[in-house]
Amino acid sequence: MAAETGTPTTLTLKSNDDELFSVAESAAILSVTIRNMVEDGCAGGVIPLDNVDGKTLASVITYMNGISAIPADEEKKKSYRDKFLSDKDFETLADMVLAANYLNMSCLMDAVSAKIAQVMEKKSVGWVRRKFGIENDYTPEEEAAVKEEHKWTFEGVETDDDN
Amino acid sequence: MVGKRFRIDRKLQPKKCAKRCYVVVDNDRISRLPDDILVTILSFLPVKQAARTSVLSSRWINLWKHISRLDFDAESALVKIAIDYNLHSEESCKYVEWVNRVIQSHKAETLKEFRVCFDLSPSAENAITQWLEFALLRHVEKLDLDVSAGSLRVYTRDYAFPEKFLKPRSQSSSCIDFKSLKALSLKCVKLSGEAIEFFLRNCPFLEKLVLRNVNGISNLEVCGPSLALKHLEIWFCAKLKSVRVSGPNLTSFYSSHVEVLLLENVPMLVELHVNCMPYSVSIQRLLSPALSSVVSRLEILSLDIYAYIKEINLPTFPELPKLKKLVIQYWATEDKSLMGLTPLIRAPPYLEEFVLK
Repeated sequence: MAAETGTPTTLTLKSNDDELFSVAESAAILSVTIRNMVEDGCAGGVIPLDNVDGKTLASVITYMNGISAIPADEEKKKSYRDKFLSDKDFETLADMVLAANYLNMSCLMDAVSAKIAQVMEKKSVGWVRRKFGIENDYTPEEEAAVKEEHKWTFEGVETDDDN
Repeated sequence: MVGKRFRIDRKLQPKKCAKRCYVVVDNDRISRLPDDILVTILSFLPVKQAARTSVLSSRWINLWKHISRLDFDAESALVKIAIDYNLHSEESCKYVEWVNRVIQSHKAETLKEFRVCFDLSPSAENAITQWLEFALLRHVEKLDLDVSAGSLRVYTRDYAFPEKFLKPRSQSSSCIDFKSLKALSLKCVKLSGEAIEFFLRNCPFLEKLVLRNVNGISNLEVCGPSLALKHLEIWFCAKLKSVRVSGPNLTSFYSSHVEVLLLENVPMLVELHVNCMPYSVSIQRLLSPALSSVVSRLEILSLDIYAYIKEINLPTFPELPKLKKLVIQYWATEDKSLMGLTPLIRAPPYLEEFVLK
């Protein structure tokens, strides 16, 4: 539906489990995906977001509102992002990174990715496997070959205890 | 659920698993994320740690080769050299081998960041040029080249930035351009003032420029109405006589060891640090009343002032209405008075923080 009488200031977003959310257009266009829809005049009615569930979308909207309320001050934005992500578990972070990717929100995408990377940093291979439940599908011979090929990645890097 | 996987390099592909599909178990949520998201996550890790994820499982074997940030950080090797300099040539060779190995395996078409920081021997020159070419061909956005890593460089000589990269596109056979560059930092690299000006003309999005121990510049003009530059640092560039700065977007500027400093059109400047060494920038000249008209938005002013030879007596200085923080490092013999600085201390009416060292 095309918006004929000026741009609406509030948008309605619909999650893939049919929850509806109202959000200020100025905050929602942090998502390039939504911004393109607005610019193409498709934002008059309800915007369906087929790849995001209601719980994740609620969280993303909290972020959109929070970050767009901060004026152009990169340090304050960064500390908002850190605080926003500080209490999120990995399952939530994984949902958020998928949503940020789908919505094309580079600032959220980078912040969540950095947060996940931070968990892996300075950790041993065994620790990362256990923490994330990564199934090792190498045979012992294959694993030895891959380790040998990447021997340089183990040089001069301190890892935390393997527990 | 079947995860998408990169092709395993042939020599790493054991025969038995050649046709095996990688099956991601249900609770392995991270391995189920799409490749591009995993690559983004790995891009936030140092190179070695990103590459080490190849050992996790076959899903991860090639992901690291697509990361967009290559930070060749070798802090632990630098610490080793600092303790025992005899290890220098061995560690330098290892570093060169390491960077070469990574860029040979690397497969991403574009790079956000490329950082080299090591005390490299002159024999590494050809390798450094190849690394620069690698990064520039991948339209790097942030380039950081430090070939001394803070060492005193007793016997080594500076790496000369290759002339071949500094030719207008029409005269150059290579596909290198600097259009993607947003941040450039060069340390212990030899480069002329004209070359810096070439960067400024040919990098329309350059926001940050840091030059440290860059020898070969005598006069530098950082000027242009369309300059995107926001942040400029010039440290210890021997033989640098004069710097003229005029940038409509410049917000912060650090300089040391410059004889003549001319600030002209800098309406956005909020942060200024100047080292007024003896025989370098004259404090009287820098803080002339004419300056206040170009730095009216200044919020932070930090000055290193030397009064070994004679006392400093500043002229009456007009108001700095926005100044919140004033830092003065005053180097003097005992009998020199601080009274001469009074006009400067009186200039900011709304100062929130004053540091005198």
